[in-house]
Amino acid sequence: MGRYIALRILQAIPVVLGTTLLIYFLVFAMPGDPIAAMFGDKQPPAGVVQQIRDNYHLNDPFIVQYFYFLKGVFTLDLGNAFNGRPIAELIGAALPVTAVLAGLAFVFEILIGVTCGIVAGIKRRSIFDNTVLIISLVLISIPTFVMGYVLQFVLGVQLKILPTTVGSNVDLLHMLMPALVLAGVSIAYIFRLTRGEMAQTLLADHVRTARAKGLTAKQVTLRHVFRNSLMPLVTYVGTDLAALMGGALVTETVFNIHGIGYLMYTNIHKGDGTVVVSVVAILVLAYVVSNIIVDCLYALLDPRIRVGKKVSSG
Amino acid sequence: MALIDVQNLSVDFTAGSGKSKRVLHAVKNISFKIEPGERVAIVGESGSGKSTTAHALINLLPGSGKVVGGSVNFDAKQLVTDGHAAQEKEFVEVRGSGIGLVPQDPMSNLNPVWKIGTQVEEAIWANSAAQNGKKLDKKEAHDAAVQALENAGLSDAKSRMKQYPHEFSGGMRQRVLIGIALANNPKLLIADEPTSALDVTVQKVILDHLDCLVKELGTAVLFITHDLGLAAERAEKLIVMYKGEIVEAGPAVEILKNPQHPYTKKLISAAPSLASTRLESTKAAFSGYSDRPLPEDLSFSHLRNVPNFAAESLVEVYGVTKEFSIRGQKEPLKAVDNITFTVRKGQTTALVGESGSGKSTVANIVLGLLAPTHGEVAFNGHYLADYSKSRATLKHFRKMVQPVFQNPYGSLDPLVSIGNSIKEPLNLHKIGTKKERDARVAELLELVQLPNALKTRYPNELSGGQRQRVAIARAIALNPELVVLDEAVSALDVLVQEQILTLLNDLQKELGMTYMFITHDLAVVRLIADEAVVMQHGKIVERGATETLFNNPKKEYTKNLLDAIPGKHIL
Repeated sequence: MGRYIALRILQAIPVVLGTTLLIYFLVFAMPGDPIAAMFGDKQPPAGVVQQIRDNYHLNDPFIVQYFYFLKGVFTLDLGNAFNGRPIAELIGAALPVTAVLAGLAFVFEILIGVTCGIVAGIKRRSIFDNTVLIISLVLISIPTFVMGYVLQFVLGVQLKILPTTVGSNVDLLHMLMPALVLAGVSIAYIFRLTRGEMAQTLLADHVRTARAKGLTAKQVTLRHVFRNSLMPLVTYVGTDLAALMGGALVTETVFNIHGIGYLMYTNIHKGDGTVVVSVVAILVLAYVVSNIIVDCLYALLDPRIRVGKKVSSG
Repeated sequence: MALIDVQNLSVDFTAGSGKSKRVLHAVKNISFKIEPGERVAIVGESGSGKSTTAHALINLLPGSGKVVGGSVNFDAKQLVTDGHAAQEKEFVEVRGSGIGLVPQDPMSNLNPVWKIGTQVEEAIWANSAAQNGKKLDKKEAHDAAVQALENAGLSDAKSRMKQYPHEFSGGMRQRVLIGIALANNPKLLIADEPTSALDVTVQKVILDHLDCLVKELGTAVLFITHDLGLAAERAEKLIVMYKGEIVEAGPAVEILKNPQHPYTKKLISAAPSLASTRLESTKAAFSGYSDRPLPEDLSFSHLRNVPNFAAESLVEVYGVTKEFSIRGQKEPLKAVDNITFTVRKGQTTALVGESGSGKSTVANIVLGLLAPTHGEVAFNGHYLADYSKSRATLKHFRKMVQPVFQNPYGSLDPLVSIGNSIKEPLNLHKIGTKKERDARVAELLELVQLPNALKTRYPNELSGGQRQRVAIARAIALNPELVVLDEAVSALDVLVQEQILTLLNDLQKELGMTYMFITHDLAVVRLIADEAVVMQHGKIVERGATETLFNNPKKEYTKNLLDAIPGKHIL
């Protein structure tokens, strides 16, 4: 097991290097001079331009710039944004906000999606099953920002049950509605996945054997049906946790939340490549780490996957 | 009083709803009794309702299956009353502790994510409360599970408790399932085709062991099987089912010796395990094995002639070895180890062995799909390796050698009509005009005794036997010299199996084809093969004429194989 995890972590290194290099290239290969953009119509003195260029290593070859960036990542000194504030500080302020949002959305996904999926999978073609199926279809079809504005208007403006926007009030009450909106599509997918897996596993031979042993329906459902349905679920949920952080861009904009997505959005507009690259690097890391966790969970859940261990086929 | 008393039991399956609702009466009005300690077998082909009957007794019917009539009384408990199954709670109590189930396929019946030990312990604690009125602690359940596995004949049970199903062979898994079924000492054991997925020698060992166990414990057994020989050998009483009804029931030996119902008679005559001689064909023999010569083509000049290639041989295999390298292991796996044998023209040579014996690897080497690591294969006087040196000769070789595989469901493209499937080899080799090809398809369908109308239909509209006929028609479309039949009848019911074997035999006589027949079933070998090659662990154990091999086996392994044929000792 230890070897398996070590192997997964080693495999992650080239992935992180490759993806950050690619993003770095894409951002800095964009046409337009960011320095010129900083000064707008004014003509800056040549000396100032030269100093800014030196500060940001803009005169060095692209690959050297990338190594300066990597050095910054490892020393946690990401440099300053064009507005002079340290990037590490900007991210430090935004990350916890997004973490609360994504975490809350994640809890909704699991609680609502999995629970409804289990019930619907067991009682297929029931009224409950059909109702939730239709709701899930609606959730999948409606774009996130539409859902956001509709909920804002109905729950916030008309009924006044929940606060409309977040701003600087980062607490559970203010985050409730954005988290629901962010989780919406995933809830629907998780529900459908769980339902399908449960229904499939219910037909498996070993489930019949478990019933023939004399186990009660509840024991069979939890120990044999749900347990075996977990694997595809873990794959989806794992990658989704990272996707929630990236996907928060739209939700954060709609609800005026100053998180990672908002930070990235504003800096893409400003053309501040250093900030964008740093934020994206963090999202890449989130993806890689959650994938490693999924792989480890996978091995934990399914003994057949533990590689690096001799398996006799008998 | 009978242990289980089934009266007028009926089971229906429904498909669709409203106007398009169709009802299938899977089990119709059947009655039988099993006394304590008695062994009874229900025999029938697939679709006869034998498994449905067994599952109805413990209310584990699949899908839309529902008991619609009759009554079942087990051990003074009324499980089904006037067509109404009791509450699920009653069945939970009976399952495991009253009636144990050994399911059919050991590969799919253990949960892959739990340890073996956990799955056995589960069976024990699920029933302990009902039996002793108290819950077992961890240690007690563990010890009882080890005991159950040891009783089921699993060696080294204590350390194997920590292993997972994928680390077990089929035979070991079936022992685990038997252990689970008998863990709570039930009064009745339902064994649903308990060994049909296993090799014949493993089958015998497991059934012998099961026999001992149930005798010792006094457990009554209900066998469900399609194999009449096995049923007669393992049970005192037989129940023969056909299309959901009992057509005949009585003492096993009596039914076998003096069957009354025509269906029973058919089953007995078709049972390969009870047959004793090779099939005779009534067809006129193919006159003269014309040496279909190589087409006159200069590009074939690279085919070397094999010295001393016997005139009556079609295939000669000289010292062939095939090694596969395995990841993480230094030593390669020798799937086939230095084997030499001959396939004679116009005859059937059978390659017999259990799983892992290397017989299918040999088939793939002869088909030219795998290259041997060492040794040579010669076909029709030329080295097989030479054929694959140019496209033209390889194409010619492919035309002369055709395969038929085990699974008729998997070997036909579901999106291609039957006619086009059969026509495909003709198209590939550009034989005849479009009209001639269509005529050839009609001719081939007639040869394999399928109606011409079938050519526009698709594989999913055909039965297993019909599909295998289509696969055979496709294989003989190009008039091949050699047909390699890899477990071609293993997936079929006995009656269909007999039909296909008869068909193959007739075709051989009519068209003068040579067969290489790969099988694990010695009983089938006796029906169709002129010569047999017995393989074990990649080596040839014994080879010779089928008659000699069956009547006078020289090697211990061949004797064991012959001995393991179920029903051998009955008649």
